[in-house]
Amino acid sequence: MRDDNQTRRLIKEAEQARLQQYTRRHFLKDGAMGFGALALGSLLGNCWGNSGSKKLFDAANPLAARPPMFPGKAKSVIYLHMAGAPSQLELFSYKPELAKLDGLDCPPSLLEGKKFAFIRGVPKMLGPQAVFKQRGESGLWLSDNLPHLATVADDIAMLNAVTTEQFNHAPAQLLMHTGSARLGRPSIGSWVTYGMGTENNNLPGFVVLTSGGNNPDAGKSVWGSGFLPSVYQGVQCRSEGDPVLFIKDPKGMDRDLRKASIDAINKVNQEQYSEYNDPETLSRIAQYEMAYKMQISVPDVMNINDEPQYIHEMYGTQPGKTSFANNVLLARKLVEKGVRFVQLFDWGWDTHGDSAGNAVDIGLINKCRKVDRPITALLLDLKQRGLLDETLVIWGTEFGRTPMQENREGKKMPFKGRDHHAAAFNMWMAGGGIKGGTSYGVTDEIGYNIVSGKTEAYDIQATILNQLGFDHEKLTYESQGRNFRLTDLSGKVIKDIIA
Amino acid sequence: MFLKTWQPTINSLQGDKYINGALLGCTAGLRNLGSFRLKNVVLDQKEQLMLRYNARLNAGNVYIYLDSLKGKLIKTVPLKSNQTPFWKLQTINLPAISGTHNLFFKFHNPAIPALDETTGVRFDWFAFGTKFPGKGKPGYDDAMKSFAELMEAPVETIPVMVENNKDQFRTSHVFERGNRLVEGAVVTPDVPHILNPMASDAPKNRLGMAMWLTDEKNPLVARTMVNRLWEQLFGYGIAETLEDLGSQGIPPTHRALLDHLSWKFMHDYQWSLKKVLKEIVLSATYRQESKVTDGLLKKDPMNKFFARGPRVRLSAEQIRDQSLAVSNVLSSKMYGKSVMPYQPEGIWRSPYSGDVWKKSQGEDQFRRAVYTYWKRTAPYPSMITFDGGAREVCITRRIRTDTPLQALTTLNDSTYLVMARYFASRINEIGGAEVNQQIAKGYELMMYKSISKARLNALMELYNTSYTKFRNDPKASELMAGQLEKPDKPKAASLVMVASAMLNLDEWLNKN
Amino acid sequence: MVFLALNTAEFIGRFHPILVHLPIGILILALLFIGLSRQERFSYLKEAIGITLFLGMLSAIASCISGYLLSQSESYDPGLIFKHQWFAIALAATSIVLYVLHLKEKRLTWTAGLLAILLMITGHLGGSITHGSDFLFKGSSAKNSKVKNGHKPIANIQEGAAYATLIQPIFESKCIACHGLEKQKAKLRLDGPASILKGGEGGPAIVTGQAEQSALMKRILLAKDNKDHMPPSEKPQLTKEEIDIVEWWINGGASFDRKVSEIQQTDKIKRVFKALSTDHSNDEVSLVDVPEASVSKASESAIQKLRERGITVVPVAQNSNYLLVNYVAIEAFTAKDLKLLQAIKDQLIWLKLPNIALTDERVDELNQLTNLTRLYVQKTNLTDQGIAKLTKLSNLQYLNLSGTKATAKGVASLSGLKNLRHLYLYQTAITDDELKNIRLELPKTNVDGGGYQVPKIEWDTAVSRAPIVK
Repeated sequence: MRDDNQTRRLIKEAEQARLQQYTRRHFLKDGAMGFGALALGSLLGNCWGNSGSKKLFDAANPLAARPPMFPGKAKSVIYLHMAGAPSQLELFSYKPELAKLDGLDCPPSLLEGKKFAFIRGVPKMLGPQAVFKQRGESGLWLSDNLPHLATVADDIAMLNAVTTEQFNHAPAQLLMHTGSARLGRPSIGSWVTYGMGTENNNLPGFVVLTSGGNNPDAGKSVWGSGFLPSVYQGVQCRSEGDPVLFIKDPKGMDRDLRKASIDAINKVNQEQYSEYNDPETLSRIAQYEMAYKMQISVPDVMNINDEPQYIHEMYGTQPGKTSFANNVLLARKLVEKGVRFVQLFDWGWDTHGDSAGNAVDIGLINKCRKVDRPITALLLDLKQRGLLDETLVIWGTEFGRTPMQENREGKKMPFKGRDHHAAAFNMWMAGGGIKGGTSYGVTDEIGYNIVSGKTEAYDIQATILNQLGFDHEKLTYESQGRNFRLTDLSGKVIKDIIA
Repeated sequence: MFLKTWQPTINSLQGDKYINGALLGCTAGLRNLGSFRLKNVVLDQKEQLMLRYNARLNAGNVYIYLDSLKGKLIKTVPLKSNQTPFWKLQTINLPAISGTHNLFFKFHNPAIPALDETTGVRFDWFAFGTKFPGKGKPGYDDAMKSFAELMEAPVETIPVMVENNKDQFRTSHVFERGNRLVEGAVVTPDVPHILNPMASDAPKNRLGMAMWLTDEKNPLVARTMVNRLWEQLFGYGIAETLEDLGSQGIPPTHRALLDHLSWKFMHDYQWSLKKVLKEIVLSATYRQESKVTDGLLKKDPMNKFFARGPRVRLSAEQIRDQSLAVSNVLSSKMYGKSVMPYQPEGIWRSPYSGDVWKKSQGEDQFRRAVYTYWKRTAPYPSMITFDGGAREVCITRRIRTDTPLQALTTLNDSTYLVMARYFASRINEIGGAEVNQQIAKGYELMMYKSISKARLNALMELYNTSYTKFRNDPKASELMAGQLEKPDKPKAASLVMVASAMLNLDEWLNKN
Repeated sequence: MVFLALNTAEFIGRFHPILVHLPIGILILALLFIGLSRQERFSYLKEAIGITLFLGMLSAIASCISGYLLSQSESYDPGLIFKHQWFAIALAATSIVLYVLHLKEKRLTWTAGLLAILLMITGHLGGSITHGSDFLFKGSSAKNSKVKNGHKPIANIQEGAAYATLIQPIFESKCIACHGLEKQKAKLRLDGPASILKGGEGGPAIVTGQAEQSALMKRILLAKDNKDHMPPSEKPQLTKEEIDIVEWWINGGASFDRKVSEIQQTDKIKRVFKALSTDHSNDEVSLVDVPEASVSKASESAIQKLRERGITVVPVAQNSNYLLVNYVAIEAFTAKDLKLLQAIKDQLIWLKLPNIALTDERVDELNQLTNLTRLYVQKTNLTDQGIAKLTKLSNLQYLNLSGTKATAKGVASLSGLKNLRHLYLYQTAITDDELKNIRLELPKTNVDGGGYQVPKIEWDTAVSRAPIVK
């Protein structure tokens, strides 16, 4: 027995729904095109909704290569992220004025109203603990802690005035890589592979390599796919053990047996297809064949042992162990084979000064020794193989370090170190259409605040997308009722460093 | 209730006007001669105050002043220092005061220097209430003693939301133009007026809201629930956007059906999930074949109109659980702590914490997937590979993808290999003597129908190929067969190969 | 406080630039009304003439007064002032006459015409005072140079006189407009050695040998939004290089006759000079590797055939029909796979054949692909024979021959490729000397022979440790 009220209510609701079909958001969107288009829009309104969100990709082959919005110089990206925040004052940011203030109390104007991760009370200023010189024809200031990088200074575009609002590792890493300090958003690599797939379907499109002993603080979320389909998440490849999880057959099975078993599976699936006629079955057959191919191609590309000795010397690799140098060499090999986005994370740069390993004049230099040679080798190696112009290399981190010596809980630290500093730090880019020998942004004489050329994570993300051939405002995905994009609500391409 | 929840209390978070003190984390910390204020404490009929605090040194006192630091001193509380347990409870009697007052708490310890920087005392919460009942009655002392012990016992605490006392409610104002400093009219809890109103006897709290949600006049809950149940069974909801049944979501394909089922769910089935599920699965729609004809493919590739039975890939948890079930190792243990099934070394990393992924022993490693220990920033890989929710944000709907990494997981994850061994062992036991019988039995266990000739041939071929290999390679057989031995290692190993292949079949991984 | 500090007269005088716009606007309007009201349909405008003339007259008088006061306080070119002043007075007088005539309802035509002429002359003279007498035609002078950074490359910096070659042009373009012949703000002139050294109201502009102490330098280095910053923020600013040059010149003694080479140069300034002396005028606009002409879409079936072989085919951009093809993921390459490219020869512009068994014979299959701008054949078995065949690909801009059997002879044959800009010869048998020759033969091409080293240094193997504290 149907309640009349209920029926009336349902009818009313249906009418309201019809009327409310045009919500303000839709109205504004269509209204911009004129009222003629409004009618058209209502006809198409449901069409768009038919397959869920407005998807760019083919669900059967989500990683197939797709064209960018306009021809981009870069075809691949190698992102080198130093997790923990290396001290820019000992690497890239030359501040002679700071040397004059070494040992003095920090002026209150720098402390008022600011929150610090560990500094309490009044810390002392810490002058630069490295010697700086100008390098190359461009005159880039680089410290002696990166002697090899100094030789390729003219290939680098230095960003002097990068800033963030997060002063803790995990949220800052998330912001830098996903555009939000909160979990749940896709990383840059996911957006890139979502936008343009990859040129070699036998390998993952977005590969992640970690070194330094630990994952970055924000964990796998910094290479996660967020609300994008999980096929776009970063695939962590390891340089020791199984290169990709589950790539190796179980013990006791050889390649022929594996092929036989996949053949058997696909035969049965084929039979099933003839019964059910579901195209998804065909897709699954393809995926299994792809898996088989990947079992060959991935270990093949991940094996650095077949590189000649002089390459190993150039990069400073340590075959058999996990090291940043190994990962960098792998990155070059992956990019050579058409992988779209390679993300490297190196842990251990958090030089607070609480131990010798974390001191800016001891531990930091040892860390530099581990990365300086491979990064330089990477740039030179890409260049000689004709790949530097189409590979965008980014060296980045999540924030910088304070010009003050850290004093945890107000006490003196055993070693020289700096606390987290969000307001101003350095990153650099090379290759992929970036103009080498340039720099953008200026900070004040002690490296505390930005004077001009403020660069945020969104700007860097916008620039990456731009070099690949995407307008960062137009690469979107609908989720939770609105269109999301990597740069979310801001971001400008840094035109000054683009050739 | 107070024992269980430590509510109603006034938490030190509500203190303000700190002098020589600060909010340290969630506790009020005071240095020597420091003070702070608790605003608007209702003192009517409050006979005692229970303090939870920690004091560093002995000989400290807390002075409670009424209305201002220069006001009436209503109590002096001597503090006892303690290290373990960290938090100490002290109950003091309050003089009878009526009305709502501000209370000032001042700390003074003459034993430490006046300008000492150490935090002299920390307060956690303040409970103003009536005395423990039953004074004078027999058993009071024992009861009082156990109450005190339990209150001070070091227990694991879990934050639970409990509604405040009425006198602790804050008044809510509309903020003019969103500016929280410009307060407009006072508002009380209510539901939007354009929707159906709350029942007149419904209290204006969460209970009342629950009543409102399930009110006959509110169709939304029933429709949402039915839609989601439909999605679980068919792969797509009647309205595809489960998370949005509003005007910006995708409208339902079968409006009348949704209404009808929602109505029945609410009225006929009285919100019983089992009953509505039964109706759906016994319906002709659900029982349709999931075969796809060309015509259907053209008109409705995604089966949005349900012209055929559902055929969708199973969820990550279902794939794991059903493989465990058919191998007869699925643990039926329910509830309790999460477990850690096998994960290869070095995958699960937790910076800054000493946590290690320690594989659970015995049947714990074969528990249902929902019991897997989950860390958002280091999720269990095969769950994520099969589109499991990462739990970073709330997802209502999962997207189904098809990737080679999924293939690699079911092919090579040693969890699945272990399952294959158990499965092989099972079919070896109950399938009969011949291998082809065993395979047929296995298929029957999996698919609830008999195996077709072509399929059997393909799997037998695999068995024979494997056997040829393993017969001449005892070491490989050993590795593949694991603990299996019957009838002999090479045969067992070959059967494991077949079992593993069967656990990878498309029709196994799909609901059809 | 400011008001008190300023002389009231001077203060009123400073309103002149504001007031001056009133008579211009109002009087022109009045003239318009006079003219238009002659016509039938605009006859209603007659009513407005009176008030407009009255207000125009008053504002003209006020402008004259303020102008006079201003001329007393600021130091302007007396000649220009004189002319402007008297024309302005004439203008004001004429406006009074015009008004009176209107009241008396006499004919206004001649007087109105005279007013118009006086307006134009006075206005022009006024503008010349503030913006310079050549302001009107400044834009059309042949200051164009195709050079990117706006500098005419200076041929031989080191040999030129420091002041004449470097400093004078800077002052001329950025300072003289307000500190020169026509205007001397703060009584400072920077258009000649004597006046530079003399300085102005605030004292000497430079302290020879000490740029840091020089007032001129200080002003230039102030923050742009500081009110004392020079040049004023709305005027063209000095570039970083120009600031460096001025600083270097002052530090070097502010000499007016010494040559550049005779003054001590820091590394920094040497770099600046180097940048100044490079001649960019012959820089080619770099070639774009996607042709501008559009092309029809390639056939779907042809693309499908390629994809079935595992070959990646993708348009270079969403709005382009040109294609990028990559053979990196192909299954078991055979010669037939190259034949498939024929069907898309018009659209194919970027072709990647890395590590493929591309023999010299098979290169023939590529002959038809004349639209190719980028060709990657690294690590294939190409020899000089095959490379010679590539000369048919006239649009080629990028050619990657690294890891092939190319020799210097084969590469020489590429000189026919007029558009070749990038050539990679890493891991070929070509020696460094041969590379030198190749670069001469291919002057427009960036030839990269690779073989870069990261030399071993002591620092590499050192280990930083905490100092041992006893």
